[in-house]
Amino acid sequence: MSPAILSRLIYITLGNIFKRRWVSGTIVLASTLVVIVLVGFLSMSEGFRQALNNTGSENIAMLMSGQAQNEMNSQLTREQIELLQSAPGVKKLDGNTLLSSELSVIVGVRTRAENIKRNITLRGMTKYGPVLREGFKLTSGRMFSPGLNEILVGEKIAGEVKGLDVGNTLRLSGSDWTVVGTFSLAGNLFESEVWADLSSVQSAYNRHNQYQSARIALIDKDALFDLTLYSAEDIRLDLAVQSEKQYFSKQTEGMVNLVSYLAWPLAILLSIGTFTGIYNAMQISIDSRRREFVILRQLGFSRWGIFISVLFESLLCSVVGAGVGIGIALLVFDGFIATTMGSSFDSVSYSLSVNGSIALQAFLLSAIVGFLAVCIPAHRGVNQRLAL
Amino acid sequence: MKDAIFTLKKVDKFYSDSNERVGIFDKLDMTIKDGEFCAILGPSGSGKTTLLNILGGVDTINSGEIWFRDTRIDNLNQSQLTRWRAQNVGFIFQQFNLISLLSAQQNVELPLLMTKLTRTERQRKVAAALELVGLTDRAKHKPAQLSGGQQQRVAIARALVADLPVLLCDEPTGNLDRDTSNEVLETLRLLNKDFGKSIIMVTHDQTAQSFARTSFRLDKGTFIEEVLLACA
Repeated sequence: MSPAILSRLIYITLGNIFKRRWVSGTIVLASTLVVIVLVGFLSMSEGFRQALNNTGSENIAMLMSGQAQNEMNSQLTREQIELLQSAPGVKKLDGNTLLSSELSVIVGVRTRAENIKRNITLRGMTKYGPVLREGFKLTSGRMFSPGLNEILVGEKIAGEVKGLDVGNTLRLSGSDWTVVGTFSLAGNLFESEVWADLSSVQSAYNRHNQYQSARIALIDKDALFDLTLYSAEDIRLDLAVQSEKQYFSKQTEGMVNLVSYLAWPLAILLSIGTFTGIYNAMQISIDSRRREFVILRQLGFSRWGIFISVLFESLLCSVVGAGVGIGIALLVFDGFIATTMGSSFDSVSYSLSVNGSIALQAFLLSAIVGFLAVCIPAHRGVNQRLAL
Repeated sequence: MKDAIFTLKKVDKFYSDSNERVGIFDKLDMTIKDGEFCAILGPSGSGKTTLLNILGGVDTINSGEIWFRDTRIDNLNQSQLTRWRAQNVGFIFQQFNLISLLSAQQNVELPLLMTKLTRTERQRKVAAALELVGLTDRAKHKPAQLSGGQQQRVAIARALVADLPVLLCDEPTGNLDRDTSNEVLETLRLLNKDFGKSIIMVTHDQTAQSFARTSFRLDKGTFIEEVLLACA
C-alpha cells in the first residue's frame, strides 16, 4: 500500500473521528476509565513497594523472641537485652553498643479531615533508636527527652492526625504527652509512627522491664550471621534474628501481593466492559460508513488498506483515552498519601507512585483492547458485498 | 468491425435463501463492443443493475463466463478483481457516491492514488478532469456544498481521471432535473466520441436512452435484444 493511499485513508478516518464525535468520545472515555482504574491500583502497589524498599536496612539487625511473627507478639527480657550488649559483629559508639530496645503500643487518635478514629504506633525507644533508622532527619522541634512524656511525630501522619502539631498536648493512657518535634525518614514506613522515650512508654502503659524488640547496628551485613550464631548458642537468648529489611519484607509482602493481584483482575474485568463499549461504538461507526467502504473498494482500494484505516481510528481513540487516563492518574494519584492497615493493626501511610512502567502497562492494555474490539466489526465492514 | 470489450457466455445468476431461489439470468449470452455507448433497458427487477455489477466485477455469477477483452474475469480472486477494477472500470451512480469528507478534487484524485503517478502529476490530471466537466471553480468544495448535477459531474470526473477504458453508469441522471441531465449526458457522449470510452448505462430515462448508440433490452433475465439506435 502506497503512502499516498494510506495518508488519504487516514485523512478520511480522522475526518470520521470528528464527524462521529460521540462514537469517538465513547471509545476515548471507556479507555480513560480502564486506564485510571489500572493505574490507580498499580500506583498503590508501586507506592507501597517503594515505601517498603526505603524501609529497613541490611546493616541493622532486628531481634524478637523466638516464635514471634511481629513485634506485637514478641517479648524480650532485660537479661536478653543485656546479653545483646556484648554480641559480636555490632557497632559501638562512645564505647556503647549501638542498640535500641523498643516497645510499641497501638494508640487511638482522630484524623484531622474526617475526625474518624485511627490507630497509630507509639514506639518507645532508647536514645540510639533514631540513629538506628537510616535517613532519620529532625524536621522541626527537638528530640524527646529521656524520662519525660514527650513525643516525636512522623511527617506522614503529622498532617493527617488531629493534635499532632509541635507544642500540642495529646492524652494517651491517662497521661498528657507533649509533641516536641517531627521527623522524616526518606518516605519509609516508620514515618507513620510516633516515638517517645522507652522508659516513659513502659511507665505509662504499666509494662516495666518489658521489651518487644531490639535493633542493633551491625558492622556490616555479613555480621548478621555471627549474631544469629551468638543467639543460637546461648540458651538464654534463642531469638529470631533477621535484618530489618527482611523483617519489613515479610510484614508487608501480603499487602503488596494483595494490591498487585487485585489490580489486574479488576482491570481485566473493566477491559471486558471497555471491549464491549468499543465494539459497539465501532460497529455503529462502521455501519454508517458501509457505503463509503464499498465506494473505496469499487475504486480499487484494498480491503487491507480500509481495515488498517478503521484499526487506526479505534487505536487512535484508545490511545488518546489512555493518554487522558494516565494524565488524570498522574494528577490525582501520583504523590497521594494513602493509609492502610499494618500487620500490627496500626496505620501505615505511603505515597502512591505512577511511574513509566505503570503508564506503559496501562497504555498497552488500552491499545490491545482497542485493537481487539475493532477487529470483528472492521472485518465485517471491509468484507461486505460490493454491489450497492 | 470493433472487438468486444465484454463478452458474457451462458451466464447464470440467481439469489437464493433457505426457502426459494430467484433467478436473474439464465444462460445469458451478450457481447458489448469496444468504444460503444450502450444503454441497458428493461423493467424494474429485470436485472439491469445486477448486470452492471457483474460487468464491474462487484457481483459474482453462479455459472458461465465473463470476458473483458482477452481476460476472463469471473474466476479472478478478490485482490485480482480489485486491481482489475482500478485499471479498467469507472463507476457512475445515481446516488453519486462521493466521499462526503473529501473535497471535489480529493474525490476525483482517489482512483489516481492506485497509480504510480507523482503528486504533481495527479494534481495536473485532477485539474484537467475537473475542467472537462466544468467544475474547476468548485475544486475545493465538499459534496454537500455542490448541487446534484455538480456532484454527478464530480463522479464523472472521478470515473474518467484515471483514463479507464470503461465507464459503468447506473441511472446517472436518475436524481437530476432535465437540464442537468442533459448536461451530464452531453459529457458522457463527449467522453465516448472524443475520448473513445466505452460507456454502459443502465437507465429508465427515454432521453438518456436517446444519447446511446446501442441498447440492450432485458426481459425476465433471459432475453436480450440489441437495437441499433440512430446515432444522436
